[in-house]
Amino acid sequence: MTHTPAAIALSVQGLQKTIGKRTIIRNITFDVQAGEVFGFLGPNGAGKTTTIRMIVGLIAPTAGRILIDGHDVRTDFLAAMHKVGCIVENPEMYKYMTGWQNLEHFATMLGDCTEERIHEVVQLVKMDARIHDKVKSYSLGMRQRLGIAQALLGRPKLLILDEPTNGLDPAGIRELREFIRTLAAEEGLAVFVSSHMLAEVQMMCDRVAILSGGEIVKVTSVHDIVEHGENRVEWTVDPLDIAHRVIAQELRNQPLEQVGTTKLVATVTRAQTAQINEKLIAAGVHLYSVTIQNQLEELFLQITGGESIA
Amino acid sequence: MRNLLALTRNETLKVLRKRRFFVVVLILLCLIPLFTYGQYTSEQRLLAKVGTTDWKAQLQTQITETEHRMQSSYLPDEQKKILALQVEQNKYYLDRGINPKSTGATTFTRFFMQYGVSLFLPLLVIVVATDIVSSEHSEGTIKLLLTRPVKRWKILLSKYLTLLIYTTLTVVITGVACYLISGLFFGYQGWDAPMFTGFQIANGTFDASHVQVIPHWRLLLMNYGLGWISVIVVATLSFMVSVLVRSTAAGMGVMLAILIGGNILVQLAADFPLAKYLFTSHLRLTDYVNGTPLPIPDVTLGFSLAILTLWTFGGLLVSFLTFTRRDVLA
Repeated sequence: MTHTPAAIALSVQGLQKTIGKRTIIRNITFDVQAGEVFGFLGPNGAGKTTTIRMIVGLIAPTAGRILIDGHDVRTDFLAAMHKVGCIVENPEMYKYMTGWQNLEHFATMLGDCTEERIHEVVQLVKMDARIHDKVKSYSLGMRQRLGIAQALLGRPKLLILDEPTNGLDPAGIRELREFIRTLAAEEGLAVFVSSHMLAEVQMMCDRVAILSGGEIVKVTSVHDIVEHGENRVEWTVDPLDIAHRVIAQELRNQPLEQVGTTKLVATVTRAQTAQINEKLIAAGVHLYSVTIQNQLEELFLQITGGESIA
Repeated sequence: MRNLLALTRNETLKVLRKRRFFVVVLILLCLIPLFTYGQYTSEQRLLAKVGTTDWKAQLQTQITETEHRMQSSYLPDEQKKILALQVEQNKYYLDRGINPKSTGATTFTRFFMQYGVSLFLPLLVIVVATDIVSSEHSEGTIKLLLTRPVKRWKILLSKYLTLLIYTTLTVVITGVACYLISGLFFGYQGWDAPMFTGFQIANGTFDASHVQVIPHWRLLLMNYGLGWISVIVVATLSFMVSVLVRSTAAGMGVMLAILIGGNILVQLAADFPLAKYLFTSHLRLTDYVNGTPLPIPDVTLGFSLAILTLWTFGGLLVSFLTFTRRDVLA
């Protein structure tokens, strides 16, 4: 988590892409700072991959600018690409070569990458044991790690991972999450992670941009929302009438809803939630569960729900 | 420059490790002995018919007869010149004890290029050529390749250089393998046998005014040089298809259709006016030096080379413009 004002590793300004008559990306603007993990959240088809492809120069934008560590991707492609490592969609490597040969191949393309650096990244992603096996014998998790090793070869300022947890098992996801957090915290890397899963972004990222229909709906700090924002809280209690009275007293004029015969729902801050819980127990109410739905989730559900209806 | 060299090394390693070129060499090593054996048995049958023992006497008679014919005052000078060359050639065979009816590894090697240049060698070349760019798309590795700090045109150029290397290797391996394998059956002689070259067909008549005798090794080199030019053209156009089509199989299909279609067209409708401008009609460049009649009327070596050059540059232009500008979508 960044508290000091950090350098901007990636700056996307007014990005737009039109293919034929369809505008698939509309006026996207955001910055990613060094040392932060930035989530790019949106349902499938929202334009995440298209945006990433524009950032790494695979697709030419119709309008807008992309700066990687201050270098414009369109006018200063080589300098910009020196500062970025990426996995776009699946971690595809040359299957008929070994992991090591693949890394050598991409190290050659960087120009100034030494063999020691290849050893370093191999150790970093813990691939030492299998690095001299053919890539076609690797599991998806190992390919993902090899992909990250490749992305880190050139000591980039910005690491771009497109849906990195796709196809990983829970242990793999957890490992990846910790690895990404370490990279950001210890090496000061800016990590840009796209995902269609909210939970993942909440656990992994410092800030998040929510994308829908090719537009950014909201850019916000994950931390702020969870700790300081107001969240929808759902209490499962018994008896309901006493609980209703206790909570209403705490809320004063804020609305309180009843759901079914055992649940009460209100939008409150974290501090209020703790206070209400204390009061409920003091009043002798059986408190079975307290579920917090934060704003992000609500917003995300609204967006994705809205899309499936439309 | 160093950069381009390193990139080209990368690409050659990929082709090698992918074992595609290995398949090409394997095909050659399987087919050449087969063709050699076929040629050998048909030759044995011919020799059995003609008789193997008295070929020297026969050749001597032939020389004497030709010399007699040359005395005739009715004979035009051009004809006389050809007869003189024939005598020279036959004397060479007689002096060295080579039966002119038997093939020899050098002749077989030349035949292989002469007959293989329009279809067989192009087919071998497209195995690597149609794969070299399209496979990066179908395997998804293009996304990594093009997001490295290297300009796109440099990446494509390194791929093209790699293709030139493997195409040249294909021609060289064909020549060497033909000579070594067929030599086992026919003997390795014949390098300096005198050969005719320089026949021309102008306005439908046979023109021998430029005919000259050159040693066989020179004719062989000319054949392989011209054959090399033809397959480079095929390789370049397959390269273009490989850039345009994202699936290797589809690219291979397109090239197969073009090559086979072109071969059929030359045989069916050689006087079709457009045929002159198709590259497939000019692949048999070796015909210009071997004195075999050309498939298309009224063309010269210069014209053929000009057409092939145009197609090559056209192909390269399309390849580079497309590759450097195209959006890499899914």
